[in-house]
Amino acid sequence: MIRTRRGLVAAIVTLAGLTLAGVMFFAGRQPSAQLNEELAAQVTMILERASAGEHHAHGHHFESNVVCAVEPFGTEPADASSLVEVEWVYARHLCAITGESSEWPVSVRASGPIAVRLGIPPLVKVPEAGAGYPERVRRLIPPRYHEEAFAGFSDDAAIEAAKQRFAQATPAS
Amino acid sequence: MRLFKSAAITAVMVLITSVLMAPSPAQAHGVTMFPGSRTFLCWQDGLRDNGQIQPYNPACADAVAQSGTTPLYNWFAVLRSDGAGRTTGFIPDGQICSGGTGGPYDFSAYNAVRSDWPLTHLTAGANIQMRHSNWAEHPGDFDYYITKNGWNPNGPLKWSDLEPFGSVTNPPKNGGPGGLGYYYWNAQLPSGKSGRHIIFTHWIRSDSNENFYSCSDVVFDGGNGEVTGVGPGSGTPGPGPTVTPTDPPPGDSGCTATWKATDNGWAGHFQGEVTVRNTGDSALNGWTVSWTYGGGQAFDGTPWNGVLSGQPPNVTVKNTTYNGQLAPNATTSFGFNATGSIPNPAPALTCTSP
Repeated sequence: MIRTRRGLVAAIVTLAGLTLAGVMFFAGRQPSAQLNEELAAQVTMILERASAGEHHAHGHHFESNVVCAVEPFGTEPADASSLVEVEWVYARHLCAITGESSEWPVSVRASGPIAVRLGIPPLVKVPEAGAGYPERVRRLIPPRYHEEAFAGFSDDAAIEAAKQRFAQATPAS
Repeated sequence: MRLFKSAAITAVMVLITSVLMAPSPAQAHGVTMFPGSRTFLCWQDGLRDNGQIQPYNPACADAVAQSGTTPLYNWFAVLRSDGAGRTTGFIPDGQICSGGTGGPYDFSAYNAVRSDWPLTHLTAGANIQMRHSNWAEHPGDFDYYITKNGWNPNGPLKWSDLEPFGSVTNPPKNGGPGGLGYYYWNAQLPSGKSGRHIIFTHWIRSDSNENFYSCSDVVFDGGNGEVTGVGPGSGTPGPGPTVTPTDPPPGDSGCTATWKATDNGWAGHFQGEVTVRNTGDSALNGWTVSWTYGGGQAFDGTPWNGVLSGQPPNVTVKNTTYNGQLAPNATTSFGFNATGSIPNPAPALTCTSP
């Protein structure tokens, strides 16, 4: 089929190139595992720090903190491969408030997809709940991630980690 | 550098707080827990052990799809800070169950006219203990209404559909704020009711203009407070329940208690019923049932027809004000929804009087 050595090399190079392109294409769709972890940690820190301040600013005086589980499902640009390249993180979140109940599930107060711009200062965008919510989610999250945006957490790892931190922050009753 | 860092952190706080979680979670206060309001029972229906809300009930699922999960996590927050006791002319017809749209969370999806909301089964003319979440505590009145006979359950709920059947001021409470504690009072359900109805409770704070609105879907079918339409298979008859009765232990305490647990196929949940019998020769004036859980079981909500006075694992349930008097050989029962696995073997129940 391939008659010359040059032809063979060209075919191999082409195949390798296609394979690499395919890998890059799919890698670009989903953040790498390591990047995912870094993004999750970053967004968790932003949410927990901000929410606690917001909560206390409302004049209620629970001895409380906010503990969040975060699972990123996309970035802008889509093919970002390291933290410094990421401008926006798209993630699902689940935040609970300590100090009111000692049980994690009944303490969750907010959940859903969010968009977070990493920068100084960071910016967190949460689609407002209530009538019209799905449309607001679709406006905030790029179409390539719409299916992910409406899905639940893919596994319990992030939630389990948050539950453990919640337990540490909550005095045993 | 330190100054820059401090300024940066302050800037971060200000910027994020302006867009994150717009209503403060701590603004929210309470809805009716028995008979369970739509938001309370939908929250129970959807809440999983890991904290996610993934509804089973189709009406609850549609409401979550339309408005997100965050309102439902704040099920106790169906409120208007400018309510001031107003009813008709303030909250539009068709929006009574959400308190309109002017609250911190938009519950308008919970106004949907449909027949598959979670349902509490009751008996017309019976005495019940109404319970209203005291997620935050405030003095005030609870005005409660029920739909008139002949109302149209297939149309939007209107103020003209409702008739009052009682009111209470500053009732006692069980449990503190921030959790599943509640105010409670006894109410006699109107007689002559049958089929589907809505009980509407209007909590009017006396120390501010803030008001709360609860719609509880009920059916008068001779029920004793049982809740259907929550959990897997809700709305459709599931496979036959697994029942694990136990023989009451002998004793001379004047009463026995019999355990029955029903597995409705919802992993990690079960429904329990305990029947108390007066085994003495004279009337019983109050009873207390105790047992110990060994497998981490807990209550999902609060028991009905019984007052919880000891929390798991060492559970104690006492009679309510309306079912403590038992003639010789008479029985009464209380029920509850629970999380965890059905205890096997069934727990040993101790019944004492009073």
